[in-house]
Amino acid sequence: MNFLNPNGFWLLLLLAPIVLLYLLKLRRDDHPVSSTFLWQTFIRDRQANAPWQRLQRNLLMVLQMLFIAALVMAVVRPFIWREGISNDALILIFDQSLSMSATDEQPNRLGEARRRALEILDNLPDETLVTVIAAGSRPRTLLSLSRDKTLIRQSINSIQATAQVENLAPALQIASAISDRQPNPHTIIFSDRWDTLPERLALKGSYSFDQVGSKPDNQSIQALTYEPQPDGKNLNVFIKVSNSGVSESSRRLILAADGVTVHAADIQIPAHSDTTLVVNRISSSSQMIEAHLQPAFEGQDYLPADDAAFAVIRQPSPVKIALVGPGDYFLETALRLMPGLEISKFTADEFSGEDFALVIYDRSLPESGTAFPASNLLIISPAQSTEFFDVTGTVELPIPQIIDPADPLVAGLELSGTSILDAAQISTPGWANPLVIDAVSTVAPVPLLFAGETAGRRIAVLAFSINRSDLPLNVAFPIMISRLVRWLAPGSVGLVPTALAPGEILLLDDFLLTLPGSVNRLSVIKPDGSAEMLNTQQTPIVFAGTDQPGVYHIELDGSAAISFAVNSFSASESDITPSAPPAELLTEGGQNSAASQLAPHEGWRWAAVLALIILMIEWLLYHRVTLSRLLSMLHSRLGASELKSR
Amino acid sequence: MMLFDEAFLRRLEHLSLIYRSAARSRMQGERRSQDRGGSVEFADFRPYTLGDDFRRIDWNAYARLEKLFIKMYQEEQQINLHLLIDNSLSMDWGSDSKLIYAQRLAAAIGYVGLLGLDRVRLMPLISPGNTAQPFLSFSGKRSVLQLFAACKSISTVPTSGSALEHVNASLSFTSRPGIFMVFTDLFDYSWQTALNRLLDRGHQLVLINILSPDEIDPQLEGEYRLLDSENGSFIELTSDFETLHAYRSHLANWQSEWAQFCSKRSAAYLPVSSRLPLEDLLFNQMQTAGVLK
Repeated sequence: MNFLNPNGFWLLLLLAPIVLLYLLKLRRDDHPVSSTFLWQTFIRDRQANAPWQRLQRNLLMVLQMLFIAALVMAVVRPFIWREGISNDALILIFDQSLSMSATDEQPNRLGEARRRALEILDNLPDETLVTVIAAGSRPRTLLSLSRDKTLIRQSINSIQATAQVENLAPALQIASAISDRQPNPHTIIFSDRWDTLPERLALKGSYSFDQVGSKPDNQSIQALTYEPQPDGKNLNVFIKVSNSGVSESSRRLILAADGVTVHAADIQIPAHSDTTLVVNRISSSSQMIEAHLQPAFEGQDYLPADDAAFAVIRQPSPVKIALVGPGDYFLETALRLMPGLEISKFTADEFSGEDFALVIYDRSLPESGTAFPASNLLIISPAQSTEFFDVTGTVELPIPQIIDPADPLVAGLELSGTSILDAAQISTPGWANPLVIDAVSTVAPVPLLFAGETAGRRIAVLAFSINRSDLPLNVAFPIMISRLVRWLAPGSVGLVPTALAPGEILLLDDFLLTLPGSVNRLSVIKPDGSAEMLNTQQTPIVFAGTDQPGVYHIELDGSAAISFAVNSFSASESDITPSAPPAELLTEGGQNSAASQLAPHEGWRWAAVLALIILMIEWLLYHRVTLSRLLSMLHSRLGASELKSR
Repeated sequence: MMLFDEAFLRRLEHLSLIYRSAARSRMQGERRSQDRGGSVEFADFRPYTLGDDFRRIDWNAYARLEKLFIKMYQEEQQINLHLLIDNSLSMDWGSDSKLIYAQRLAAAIGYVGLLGLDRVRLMPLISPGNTAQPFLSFSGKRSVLQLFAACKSISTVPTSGSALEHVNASLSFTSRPGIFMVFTDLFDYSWQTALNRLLDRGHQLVLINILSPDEIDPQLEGEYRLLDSENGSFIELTSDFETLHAYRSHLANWQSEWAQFCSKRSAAYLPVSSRLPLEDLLFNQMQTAGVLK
């Protein structure tokens, strides 16, 4: 045994006053009595029945000496050398990817990694600073440079496996930044696959790879897609099942549409190969398809998390557009050529402004005293100012010039040869970007086409009338109209993907912009039934809770609006074959980081606990008289109250 | 100096000693003996044998049974009341002296005996000079003051002899059985043997075990060297609440053993505190114990 603070042994000198006081206390007072006859018989009987009574006087002194000795042992900080980490800083990185859910370790690979990390923690010197990083698709530093073992344990125990793809690189960058600032750091990566890591890790100090997992056997669903059959009544559903194990596997595949099983098949999947199925009896009116692999008849499957797949089937719904104005043949033709639009024509006085994704005001505006509808707007050739812009006059014979050829609304369009008779003179409002201006404006650029977002909607303004130009004869015209309409009314269906990968972020701003009216409550219902409320007042509106494979439902003001699926289709994660690091690991300094280390394992805590126990025993023994008296009083009071009650 | 006031003596006049054993003397007293003597009170019949007094033949019984029977009568005889006071050094201790208590108690019981025309014989356990001396004998009411003075004159005498030796010496001065009242603290290991000797002589034993309050309930807490006033020996004691509680239990067990000893031998045992009023002892406890009535 060694001692970190051997000077503490000087405290043993405290034993001397204890012995001295004890010797002084041994003096007794002389007390004459008539006879010691009764006392002699009493003591003789007592000693016969309880021989330890003679030791009782010495016991307190012995306990006090033992207390001092235990305290001194705590102060001198004894330690023994044990194999373990002896670095000043330790960084623990836990791979949270899908393959870490494999059950070839108990309870799973990540659980085994946690257990090993806790074992390392138990043998860690008290001074070591520990950082815990959870490496999911977005790494999280759960604890940074802490010596509190309780907190470290809590952090480690809080790490759970996800359905995400392995992404250790960002976690290694964080570890690198932390290790750079620490003397003598060591990094441990807990993962099942070494081969996904870079060849050289930019980590200061030493590092080691703690590989978990031992078995490669796993079958998974790697694809679930569908396409409508030519008659449009049914769907062809494609399913790909993969076997990454070393032996053939037999599984039963169940296919369900809207919760009803429509197909079941027993499939044989050879080792290291894929099997595909096509099922063509799914009704095209179905809204959701699920595929599940039942437990294996033959072979092992150590990762059940990838045995299910989901697909959301969306029915196309046309974008409703209102065309308000006297009518324009070229404009109407351009709109009709665009698929997925439902165009309604109105005159200015008959339009009520409800339930349209886009309202096109062509040479018209809402009647005075009437507000614009809450939808997105395309205003063509406004005659007067509106709440969104000011019309200050007319520009004669403007020459169109595209300001930013890279803007997606006007990219690749050629408008310079377009002839325009006149256009409304509008100064670009603050919310808008000018896309096309009058090239010959002398004072300030006069926009001929500008667009932007304001008051929760998208607005585009074409300052000139189509029929007072030859723009319809320009090949750019239908393209420009198409781009403007798609930007103004993209169709909510296309803005939310039908499927996402686990951990992928979903942005909902564009989706909400396409909706008529405003939304007060926006929530996403996850596959487990829990709901996450999103704040519609902040931008961007982000939903990042795509950790669970399954079907998610977006609800607007309590009503179901649209659904999407999250699937863990990752061949790399479903291939759970563990890979070990090469025999020699090299750090940047060329030192072998796999060498075992000896670390001091202190025992002062045990000595402190022992001192406390001895102190308690000594206190109890010293106060035996008082405690006996209290007990006796209590006993007699209880007896008296019993008598009274009788 | 009077040990008692007039009122107390008057109350004592109502008491009398109870004799259970066949202890008798040739003198006439007020106590009934089991001898079938020549008094007028008929007791029983027995068959006539050659040599019986023919004047005692019951002719009525002969007429009925045609057999000769003689009458037997209760004979009233005097009893010897022995009062043995332990005057070892341990008896005279503290403010509630056990010796003074024994003196007063013996004087009171002796007074009752004198009034009952019994012969009262007083003796200290340890005679002055440790030489055996006969009992002081008293008889009749005329001897009351002498009895009181004799009781009061008994003082402690240091001795190295055991209680057995002293009791043997006193027994040598007793010829006929009687009531033997012993007033002692029993602080000697040979008392049981001594009392057995006494009982073997046919005496009716009344053992009055007198203890002082600080022997019954010592108020000691701490580290002590207890010094024995009799022999100068000492013992070391660490006394605390638990120790005192155990001591009281030990005392109770010790007295219980003495009670059993006396009960087995048809003797009366009375453990008393030297602080107990004599009236309580004489008029309550002794009557309950069957010593007085």
